[in-house]
Amino acid sequence: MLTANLDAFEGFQTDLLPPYQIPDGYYDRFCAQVWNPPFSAYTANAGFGAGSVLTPAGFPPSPYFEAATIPAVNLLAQGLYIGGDYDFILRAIGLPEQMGGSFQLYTPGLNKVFGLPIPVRGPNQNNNEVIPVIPEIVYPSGSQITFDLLGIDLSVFGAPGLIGLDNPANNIHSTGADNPVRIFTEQLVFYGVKRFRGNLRNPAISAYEYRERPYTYRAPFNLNFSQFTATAAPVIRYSDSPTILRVPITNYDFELRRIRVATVGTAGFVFATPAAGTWGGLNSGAFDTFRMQMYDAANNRLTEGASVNNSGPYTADGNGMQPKFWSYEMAYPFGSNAVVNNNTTLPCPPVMYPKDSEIRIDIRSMLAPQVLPATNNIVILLEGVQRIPN
Amino acid sequence: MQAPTGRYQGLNPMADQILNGYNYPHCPNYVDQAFFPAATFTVPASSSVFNQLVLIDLDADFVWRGLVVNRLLDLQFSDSENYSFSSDFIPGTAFSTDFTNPFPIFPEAFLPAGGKASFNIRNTTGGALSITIYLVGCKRYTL
Repeated sequence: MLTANLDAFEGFQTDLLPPYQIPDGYYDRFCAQVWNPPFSAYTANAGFGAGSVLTPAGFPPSPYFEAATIPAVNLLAQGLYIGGDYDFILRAIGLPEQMGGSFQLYTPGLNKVFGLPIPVRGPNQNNNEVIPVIPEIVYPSGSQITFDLLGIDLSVFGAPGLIGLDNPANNIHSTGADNPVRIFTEQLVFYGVKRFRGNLRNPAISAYEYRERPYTYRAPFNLNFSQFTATAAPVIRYSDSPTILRVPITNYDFELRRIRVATVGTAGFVFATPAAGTWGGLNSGAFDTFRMQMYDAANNRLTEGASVNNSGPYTADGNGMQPKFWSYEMAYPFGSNAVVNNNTTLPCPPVMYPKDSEIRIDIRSMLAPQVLPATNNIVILLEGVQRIPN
Repeated sequence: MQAPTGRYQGLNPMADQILNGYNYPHCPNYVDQAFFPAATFTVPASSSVFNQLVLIDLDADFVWRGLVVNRLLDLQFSDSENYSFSSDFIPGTAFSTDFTNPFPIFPEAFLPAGGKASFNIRNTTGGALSITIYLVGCKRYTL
């Protein structure tokens, strides 16, 4: 992405229009539209054998599957619907990091954005790729973000977030001896803002004159739980109830500008580097271990789940994205005890939480139930400024 | 620090310009649309190919602001008027395969509708290679 130095940027680009222009009578709210592959992408694939897709009891078909290799597939004309009460301003695209293949985006008028589909990083290329869209693309209310994914490899699609067990001894999901159960975790994220009609301001204004001081709220939790309970092979039961963190805003209005994830203690992310052959499988990324959904002070979600084609329990309620897509490189905020190989999210515009409100975060664990740690302390850092009255 | 005012109000100073809604100005009576013209070329082993064209669509002019390739080969390129952007090949390592960090064309180059960007491509390896070249920029439509 472009650098974040506004002054340098403006000195360099002397003829820029004033930044961040919102038409009169409108206001913007940060939003990340999240897309997950549809279940049909799996069932339609000839590579699946009978019984290879596991459906948790009581839930619609879900992206659990067990198969050693799955042919590459094309997902054409996928879409994320834009709601009826806002326009979506697309400013950047977060591509999945593991599925390979290529990606094509369309404008609201269904013109291609890329002359040729652009490549998506393949397996074991653990770099997030967030592509700026300049100029921004306005998707009107009621339209949809249309895109193609070509030649993606679903067999590695979910590899970094693999919570099935590669170890046959522990592989209680599989009826075979060595078939790992892979649970899809990759996502495609469209960053931008929702643009609503109205005379609100975002971030909200305070009722007093103020100066700004940096401040960080902490949201600690112990990620030693699982959303999954395996009762008997091949059934996986899924709990869709998130663990809710509530951070009270105690003294001054708080403007949230950055979100990071860190660990506390010497263990770091306990699942960052699983040994070969153990659970966790290929490159189990630390940041695939949970997902989060955030809300503003009025309980509006800051991420929007896919509204179509999602039958998986992960996304049936449009819940949050993986924190890895909120971010880019940021290391060691708390010294050597913290192992953070990314990640910040940058809500634009910032989000203001008034005094006596709270920051709500929904946590959904992505950990396998079989090998939960006793202690896995994680802290979500909510960074920004306090508005100190003058 | 005093609270930001005026044009800075609502900005997140920690975030990228694009997430903050910075956009290039567009000319009066025109509208810009993000677009990435692209073409794939094959270069034989230990040789160079010349005047390989990435063609600009007929429906709009193109404003060229960056370059991304899928393979780091030496390039020398020019615009529709055959203005060359370098005196000789630029080493492939100077370019980028990352759409988050394109090779910049600054100031932007204007390629008219039906125009072209022309590339000389050098392959110093012992095998034939293909390269896909993406131009980063936008189409400029008249209103």
